[in-house]
Amino acid sequence: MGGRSYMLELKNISKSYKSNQVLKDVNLTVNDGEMIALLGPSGSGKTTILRLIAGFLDGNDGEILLDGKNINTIPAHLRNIGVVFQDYALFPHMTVEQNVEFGLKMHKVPQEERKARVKEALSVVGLQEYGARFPKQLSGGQQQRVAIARVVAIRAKVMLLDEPLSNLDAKLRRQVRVELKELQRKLNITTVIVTHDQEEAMTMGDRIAILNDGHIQQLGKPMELYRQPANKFVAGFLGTPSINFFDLHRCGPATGIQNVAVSAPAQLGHLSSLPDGHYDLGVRPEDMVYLKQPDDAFCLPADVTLVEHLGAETLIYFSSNAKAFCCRTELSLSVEQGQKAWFHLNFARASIFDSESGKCVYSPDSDPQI
Amino acid sequence: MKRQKHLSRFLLALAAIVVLVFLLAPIIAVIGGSFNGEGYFSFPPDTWSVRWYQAAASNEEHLSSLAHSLKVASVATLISVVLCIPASLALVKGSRKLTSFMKKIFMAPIFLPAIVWGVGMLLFFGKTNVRGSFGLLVAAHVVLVTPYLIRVVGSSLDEFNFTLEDAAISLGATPAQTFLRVTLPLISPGVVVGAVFGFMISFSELIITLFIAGSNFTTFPVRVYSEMRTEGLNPMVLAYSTIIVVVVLVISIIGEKCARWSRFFS
Amino acid sequence: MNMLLLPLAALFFVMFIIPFFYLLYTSFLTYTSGQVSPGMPFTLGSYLKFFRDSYYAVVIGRTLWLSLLSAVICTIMAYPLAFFMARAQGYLKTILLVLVTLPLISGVVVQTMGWYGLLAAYGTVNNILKALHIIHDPIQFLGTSSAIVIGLVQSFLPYMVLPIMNILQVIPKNVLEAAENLGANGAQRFFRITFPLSLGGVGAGFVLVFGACLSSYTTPSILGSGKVQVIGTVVYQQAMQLFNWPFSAAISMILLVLLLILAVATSLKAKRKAANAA
Repeated sequence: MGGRSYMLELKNISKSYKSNQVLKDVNLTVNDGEMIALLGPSGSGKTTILRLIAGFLDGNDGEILLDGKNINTIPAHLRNIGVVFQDYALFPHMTVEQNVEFGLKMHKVPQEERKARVKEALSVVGLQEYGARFPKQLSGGQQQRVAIARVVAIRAKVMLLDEPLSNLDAKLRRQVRVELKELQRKLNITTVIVTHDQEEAMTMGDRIAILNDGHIQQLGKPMELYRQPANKFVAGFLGTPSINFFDLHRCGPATGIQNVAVSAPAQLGHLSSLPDGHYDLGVRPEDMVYLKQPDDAFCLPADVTLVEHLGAETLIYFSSNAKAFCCRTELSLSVEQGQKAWFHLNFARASIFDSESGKCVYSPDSDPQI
Repeated sequence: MKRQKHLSRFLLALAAIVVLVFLLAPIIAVIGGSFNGEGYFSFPPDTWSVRWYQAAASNEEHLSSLAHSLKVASVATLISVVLCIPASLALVKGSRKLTSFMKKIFMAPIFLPAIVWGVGMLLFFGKTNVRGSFGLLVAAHVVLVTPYLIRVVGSSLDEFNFTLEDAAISLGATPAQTFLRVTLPLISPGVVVGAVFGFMISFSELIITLFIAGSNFTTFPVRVYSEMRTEGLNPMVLAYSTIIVVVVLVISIIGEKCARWSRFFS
Repeated sequence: MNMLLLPLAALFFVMFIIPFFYLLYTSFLTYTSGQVSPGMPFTLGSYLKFFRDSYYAVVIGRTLWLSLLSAVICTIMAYPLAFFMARAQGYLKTILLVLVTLPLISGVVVQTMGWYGLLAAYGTVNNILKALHIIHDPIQFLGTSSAIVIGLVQSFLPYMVLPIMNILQVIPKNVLEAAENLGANGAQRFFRITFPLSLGGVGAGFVLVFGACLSSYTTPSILGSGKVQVIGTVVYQQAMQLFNWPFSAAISMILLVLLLILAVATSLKAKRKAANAA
């Protein structure tokens, strides 16, 4: 690790507005050519981080390093960090060509070279023919590509994308997701995506930084975060439908899940060696099996409250001890609301969290397949 | 049932027309009276003639008062535009308490009595050596016109997407370049509407000008008013007024069609 | 950023704020007849003169009454036009808007000229009345309170029509459809829903017009022919003809106080309404 320089580095970044501390000691490194997703709910501070990197905000503490150089004191218009805004922010009174040329003019690139670079940027995003059009004549997807072309033209070292897929309709989203990823790989430009959509982050990010309440909760590859979440927040934020948290109680030799005693401790595997206490057992909906009748292995009894047939999969919502959970199965079953059901829990894939702190105390070994 | 609906619709349209005719009655009288062949007011005209228009084209005193009005209005509007654009930006971006207070101040000339303001200015500047000067008159007209400009430019800024400024900065533009190349071009339609508004308000203003204009610098409304008080109605003045009304009408149609500017009147 | 306010604020301070305060100051100075400039000592003389002489109480009363009358008539006349315009579309709407704002922009002088001609002894109204054999000798409209009211109502009609039109346009169509669906006929929909919802605009327009009438000078001056005195004309007369600046200033201050009371009453009512709605 030593000696490697990152393209973008955030060191001990803190920021408060009036009496509200929005960012608390944020640390982040982004490798050259990497696409990293900043994921978090609204209010988590991710937009603040974006604006700090771009230079629209001044931090209270900490350093921002661009290619090894501290840019804290460099004003926004001199940082050469490209921003693609959520509403694209194309200049409505300029043509596509003039929009893309704008940054080059500001950077005092001579006219000859400007023309060439505009052409190049537009062809990279596939809009060579659209130079003379005005933004309002373009579709949403095309406008986004112009916004990206603007950034490409100025040869920014880092590109920031603010919620790139949120303005697009569902169908377009999937297509644009793939295109953006391909474009980023082709350009090899270091990119930071800010989003609240976990699907966006999972599919686009080489790594994900999950933010909540001004802290980075966990930083890592998407599947790492999914399979080995660092705390309850990360576990609950990734995955739809969200992870189930079952009450786990350990007392001496006895183990209870949702107040149901586990009769054969051997089934529990590593769970039986947990110290005494209350825990949350995190089991994802797809790591459960629905049973019409109980069998010898540990089965959680439950009442089915709702069944949703989605075609490729079925979601079974059930309650156990007045708490609601969800099971996801690919089988199309004849389950009915109000019926009694039993569920196997895949302990090998479950994570265990301390009830009070929410921290993960045990997560399964990394799957050799990912 | 349907007949009742049609009857009430008819009565409503009738009432609306009556009110509209009442509203426009003086203007109709002015236009009509300007075509009277004789030297007194008559509407409908006793005889039809355009002689007053011919007289109007060559009457030195009235023409010079028109020129004075145009001069004051254009200089005052120009200065007001230059002052109001930065002020409007500050009103949108500045600290809440200050801007809400300043907004009330800038809009005040519409709500406070012109006659009181006029006497106050006359008293305050009466002893100084700027009294009766062109500069003082222009300054007063700038204040007069400002509420309209602030209103219209403010509305343009409300519709302006400020993310565009961030975009320009991220692409390397300094704040000054951002203002000149992005913000200003996009609010300029609003500025033009406000300026035209302001110009017309300044042109037709009477009371303030009556108080503080110099005795050798009469504007058109002041001249007409003075004549009316001393000599009564003069068809030549009606001719001038008709021309003004027609110009105002044309500008209003353009303003309403392009910018729906009637929304700035209440 | 706040600094950008400075040039305009400075201009306003000198041209607008200070004159009002100077006027306040002048109202406490002593007037000596024959002398143009008022001087020390400070005195309440002007205010006392105002309150002692019943003539000025009459002037204030007359101004208040004429303004109230004008505002009421203006409201009654404006409503049908505003209602009609709220429903108008396309070119008709544009033309109506242009016509309604035309008197405002062409200026008060043009309007007053027109009324002068219409209401004069030799003017249009009298000629029509004579032609219809309703009268024999011309009626002297000019120089009466009625002429002033007519002039004020017409001048300020646009200020009433536009707010009412705006508020009528904002009433959601589906609210009226819901009422119709629940059984209300046209008249009921108007009186129970449209009209109550439009009162906000009516109130706003009324206050605006009332205040403008209290402050008016040009219309009463020309249509009153000097025979009917209102606050505005007295202020002018005392200042420009009698050179009694302190007195003119005192009356101006009283007018400002009246307007202040109006503003405060309006905002209190608005606050109470907002509190009730919450």
